[in-house]
Amino acid sequence: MSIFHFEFMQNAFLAATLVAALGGVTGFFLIQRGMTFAGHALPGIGFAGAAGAVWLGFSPLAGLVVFTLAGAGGIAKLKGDPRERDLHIGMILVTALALGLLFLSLYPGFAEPAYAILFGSLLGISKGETQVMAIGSLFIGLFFVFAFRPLLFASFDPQAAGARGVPTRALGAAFLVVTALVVALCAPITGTLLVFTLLVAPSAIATRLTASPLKAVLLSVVLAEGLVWTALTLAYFWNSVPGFFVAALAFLVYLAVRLFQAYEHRRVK
Amino acid sequence: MTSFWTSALFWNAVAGATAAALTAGAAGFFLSLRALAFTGEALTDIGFAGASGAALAGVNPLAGMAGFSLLAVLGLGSLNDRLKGRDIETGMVLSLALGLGVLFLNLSTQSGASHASWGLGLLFGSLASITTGSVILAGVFCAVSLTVLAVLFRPLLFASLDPILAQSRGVPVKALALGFLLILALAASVTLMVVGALLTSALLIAPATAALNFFRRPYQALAASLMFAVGIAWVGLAAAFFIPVGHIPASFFMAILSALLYFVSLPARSQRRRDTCGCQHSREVTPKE
Amino acid sequence: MEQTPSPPLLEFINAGIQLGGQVIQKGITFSLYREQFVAVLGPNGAGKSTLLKLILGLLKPTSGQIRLFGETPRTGNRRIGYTPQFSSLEASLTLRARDIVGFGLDGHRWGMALPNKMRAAKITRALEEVDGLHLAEASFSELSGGERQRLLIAQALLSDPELLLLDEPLASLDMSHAQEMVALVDRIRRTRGTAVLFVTHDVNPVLPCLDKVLYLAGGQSTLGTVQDVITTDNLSRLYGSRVEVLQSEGRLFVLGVDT
Repeated sequence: MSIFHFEFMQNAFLAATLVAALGGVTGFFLIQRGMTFAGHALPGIGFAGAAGAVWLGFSPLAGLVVFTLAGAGGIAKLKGDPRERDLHIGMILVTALALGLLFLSLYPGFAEPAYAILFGSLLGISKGETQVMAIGSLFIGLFFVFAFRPLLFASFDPQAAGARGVPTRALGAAFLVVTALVVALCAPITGTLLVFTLLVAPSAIATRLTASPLKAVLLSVVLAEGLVWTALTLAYFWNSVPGFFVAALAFLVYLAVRLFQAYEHRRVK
Repeated sequence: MTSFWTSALFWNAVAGATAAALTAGAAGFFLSLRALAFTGEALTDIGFAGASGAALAGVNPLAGMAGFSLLAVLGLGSLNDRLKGRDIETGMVLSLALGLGVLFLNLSTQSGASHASWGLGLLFGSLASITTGSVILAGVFCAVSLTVLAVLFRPLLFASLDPILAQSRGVPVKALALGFLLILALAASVTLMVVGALLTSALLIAPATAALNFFRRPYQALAASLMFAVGIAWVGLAAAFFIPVGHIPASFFMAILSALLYFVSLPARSQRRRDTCGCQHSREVTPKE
Repeated sequence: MEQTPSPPLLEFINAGIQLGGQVIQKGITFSLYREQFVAVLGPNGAGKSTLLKLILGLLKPTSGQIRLFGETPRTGNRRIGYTPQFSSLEASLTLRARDIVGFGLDGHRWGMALPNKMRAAKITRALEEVDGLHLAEASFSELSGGERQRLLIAQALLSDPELLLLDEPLASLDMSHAQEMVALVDRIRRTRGTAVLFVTHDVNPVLPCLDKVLYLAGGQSTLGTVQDVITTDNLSRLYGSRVEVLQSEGRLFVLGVDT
């Protein structure tokens, strides 16, 4: 029986394809801007929103989106050196996770949709949600197409970019909003616990292999797609959650690249 | 409810929480000085994988946690320095560990309420269902950690503050670094049991960071860290037992309290920046001659 | 300020060091005596910090010998006081100056320090010696570069060392504060009879107090007085390229080299 026989798998694959591409690009900029910890925190904050939404009777995806956006807004406001900022973000994350726990506990019974948000699921995405995701992805994609060059400039050298008239602050804020949305889109598939991997691993691997930004982004997208497709397939056939496979495959590839590079390095010497 | 106060459930919870708080408060002190917060998180997530793996294998989860994380530290021991900071690599290890944990959970019972609540316990703390065996093990971990840290206190502090200078004074900096990571693995495991993998910052990071914000003398800061951690644990437990709404776990209250403590301590830190205690604020001071 | 006829504290006997396949120094030979003030000069990468590490026992020479107080150098030698160049004191920012100085006394001993009047008195004395007592209660993060350097010296003095190794102590100081720092070091030297090895890349602030100069460049070294060592011919030979030494208003300028 073909893997695409079931509608939920069609939805999953469609959503995953869209989301992986966006994740690959977003992750690249997250690394360049030194904001990977935000990639770790935003999903957790989103989880609180999803759990709260379930408790109040709304769609978990809606709660996810609202909270990740709010979280992004909060993180954008943080000042201070990177180490301090990361500590702040960490405590905000803890608060959000605690709130999520509270909502889960208050919900009478077994809050299945919220758990799906935590761990991810192949069944997570309905047809309607797929359509919403497609439209959202289109807008985010357009953003990246237009903003790619100035965002790149602003990420590498904010002062020079500002001097050249690039609206660095506005771009930074827009990018955070986009990150929040991408996180919200990734979460139903990988689960909030493992969004970080899908977001960051492909670009981490790509930037190790090439120094050219354009090549790195393209490679990152290709890797992300490969990652999700393999993970979804494995999850389907082994009747398990896709999140683990994303994390495991990403780690293995990253490890392989690192070992290979270390070996090359030693050989050249 | 006199029977409640003498029930094993209650005392297990108190004992377990206290052991975890003391261990986390002490380990967290050095964790904060050595800027290893991310590594601490990675170790808790590795512990999470170890615990769910242990459940799959039928072993005591706390032992599984500790064993897995100790192995991880020894295995990664040579990559000691690489684990520092907000490294992407640490994040990858963290993600892998979380992923493994999720997989083990998934395997141990395919789906359904019981599996999910077991998984929640690992993620958010399982104080309400802690066994006597785990409490005893936690007590042992606590005793070992506190003893080791007391003995290593001075050289570890020196090595954490200025490794180059310490090494020139004969302090075994590398060995101490490894030793601390091992203790951190123990601390992460005990903390995981009480507040779960996702909320470890509540006991491991927040009390120590707040203490270092409030106090600038090392022994004072250490004492404060221990007291904050135990305070958070006890108040959190009390709130969970006495607030009648739903089955809200103690870890929720502990997390919220710790976040409050952390944010309240922030002004103290910037106040110290401004406070010049009689010295000139700007760069150089002419010495008294 | 002259050599005393006592055995040398430190002897380098054609000691060379290679790191990672690269020759840092071919073979250094010099002796250091009690109360001598020797400046170690040379461009970045010439091996100045490496020299200190050899004396501290953190590195072993790949050829030749080093005798420190008649023995092979080892770590943890209390007869040496050392202030490193890049103090990685980031973590200590929240702690008190007094506590950080205290590490010089017993930071390497196991266990915890019990409150001890004698210990506190020793720390106070060391702080007084560097005119830093008023900084004792401040948190390290509030102090300027010069103040921190002063405290590092206090820390180094706590073991009553016979040899002081200072790695670029003037790095973050402007001219007038550099001169104060040098005067402080010189005063300590004369009061305690300590020998001083002062690593710096600009010889001018230490000119007034200097006995000898040890110049490291291009894998080679020269030891002698300022007049003998810092000359156009000598430095050109050391660097292997055209270097010019100019004197102007009592200050020396080395041209043709980036330090």
